[in-house]
Amino acid sequence: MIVAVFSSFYDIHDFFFELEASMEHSIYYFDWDEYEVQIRKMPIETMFYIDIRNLKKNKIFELLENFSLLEEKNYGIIDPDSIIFDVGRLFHNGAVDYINKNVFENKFSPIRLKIVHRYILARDSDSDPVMEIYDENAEISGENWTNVVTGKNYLFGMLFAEVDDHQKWKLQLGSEQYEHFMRSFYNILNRVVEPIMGRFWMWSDTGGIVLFPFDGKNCEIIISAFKLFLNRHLISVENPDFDMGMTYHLVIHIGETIYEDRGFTSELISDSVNTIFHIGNQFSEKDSLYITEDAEKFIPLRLRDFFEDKGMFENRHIKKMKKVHH
Amino acid sequence: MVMKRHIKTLSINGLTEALDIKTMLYLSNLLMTGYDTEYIYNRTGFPRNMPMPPREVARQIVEDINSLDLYLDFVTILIHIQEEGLKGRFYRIPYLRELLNDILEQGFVYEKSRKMFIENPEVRITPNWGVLKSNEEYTISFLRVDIVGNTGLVRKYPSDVIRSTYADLKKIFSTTIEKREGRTWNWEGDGGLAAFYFGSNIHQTAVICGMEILHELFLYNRLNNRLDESLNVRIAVHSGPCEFFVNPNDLNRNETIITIQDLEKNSDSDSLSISRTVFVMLDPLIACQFSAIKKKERREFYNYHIRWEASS
Repeated sequence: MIVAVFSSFYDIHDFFFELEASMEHSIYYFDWDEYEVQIRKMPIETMFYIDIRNLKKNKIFELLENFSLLEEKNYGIIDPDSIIFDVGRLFHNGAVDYINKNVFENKFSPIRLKIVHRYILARDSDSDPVMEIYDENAEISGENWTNVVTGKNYLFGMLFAEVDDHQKWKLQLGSEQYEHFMRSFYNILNRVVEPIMGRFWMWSDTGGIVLFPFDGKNCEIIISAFKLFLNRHLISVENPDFDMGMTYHLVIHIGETIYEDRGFTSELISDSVNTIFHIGNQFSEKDSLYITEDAEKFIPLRLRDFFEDKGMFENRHIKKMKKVHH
Repeated sequence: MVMKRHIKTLSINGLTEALDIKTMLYLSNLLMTGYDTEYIYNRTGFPRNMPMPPREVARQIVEDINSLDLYLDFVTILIHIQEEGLKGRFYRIPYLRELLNDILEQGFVYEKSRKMFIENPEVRITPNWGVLKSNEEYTISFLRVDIVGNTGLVRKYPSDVIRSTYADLKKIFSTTIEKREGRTWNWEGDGGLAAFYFGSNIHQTAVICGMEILHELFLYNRLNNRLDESLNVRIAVHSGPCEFFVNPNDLNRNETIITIQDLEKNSDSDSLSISRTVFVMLDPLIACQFSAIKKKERREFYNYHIRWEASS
């Protein structure tokens, strides 16, 4: 097993001495300032140990949040000074080991690592979702559409997409050309959502909602929509129907809804669907990409700086992707 | 490309049914200079005091087209006279659909903007699109990409890390250009040169590719990069006349290539620089994203890099 230890203390080598001496495992020591780089660089299934001695509480909070978002990488906390108040919470957030004062006074044995490894295997086979389910009747929709059936409540990734100033364009272009334009908009979105199993769900002549299966761990539409927005001018210029100064706004949300087939959704009542429509219609500015707090935690760490807080709307924090200047 | 026996027959039938002898010879003269009545009598050995049957003329024309490897050019002219007419008159060419299907099966598609056949990218991708001829001059739009600080990176990182990182860049480069009918003319490990010849606005296509590569690299550096630092590139786009050479080293003598190399070397890291020749061809939505740069004793050029709005 590969073990990576983040610590500023030299006595950490003593603690892991037996593990090093066993020659069965690879162990690497890193300073704190390298942690963001190293957690990306180290192979999947690396076991990270984080020595939180001397760290300020807010820094610990940030670190734990970052580590809890890591996929297929596991972490344990070394806390001989008992800084962590609620150890159980650590495990709820994905930690797999906790070293307290008593353990730290002895050596870390290879057997302990084997037990931790067994614990990881057992935990992963249960595949507990990271995402909290709000409604006891809602299920995670899964990695694909295989297990989704109509009439049942699921948690989905949702993308709201709507053309800006659609009334103006409808009048200006006439129905035929507007239809061309909307087909082009549909095709542009389809190229983005199809590879990640998005389904156009509610769709009208101004836009609508695309649903994505959600496994509780990944929300791929965030990166795809980010890329779409980064390239939106290039895409507009390359689509003749779009090259008229047309813009659109997008909203990403993760929420639950009863699943009905497209075309049979008119009587559906869903708080999440209402929310995303309200954000799209009442809160969004033109030519923008928004994300709700429910989906925000799935933004990759190194893209978070490119979203800014836009306050609360209907009791939800909303963030907006920054724009590229031109 | 060799014409199969049944294709020859269809071509002869098509010519005979659609055109009179005079028009057949006029058409042939466009492909083979000097192809006239005198020539066809000499070629066939037919007695001059007898009128030649149209089918015999058509047969000889098709034989000559085949032996001179002008099949694609021949069908291109047939498409032209069916779609746009000849001397003000329109012709319907029988069996043209069958000829097009045969060409499609052989891996070529008709490119409307240039009105010629090019290789079908789903079948094969070659640097000359299957049709550009060696030592002939074409107006081409070029895109050049170069990794910043290549020597330092190679010294600093293990070779497998460098190899996989540079392979990722090459993949971004080739995916971006090939989906827009561009071709890689040269890839040297730390950068390369792409050419654009087909399409309605090749200058803009090359620029869009350059911008998209910068955007892709922006995401790559934040999501997939294995280095401790960002992988940075300099990109340039310039258009101009260029002879096509099979050997990429011969390109270095070309004035357009020398200009683009110079443009790229004087660009900032993580930016795209384009010449004025290219800039004036851009859609305003793209053009407004470039800033004019004037350096001492150098021609003005235009530069793009990703600039994020400040936090409000």
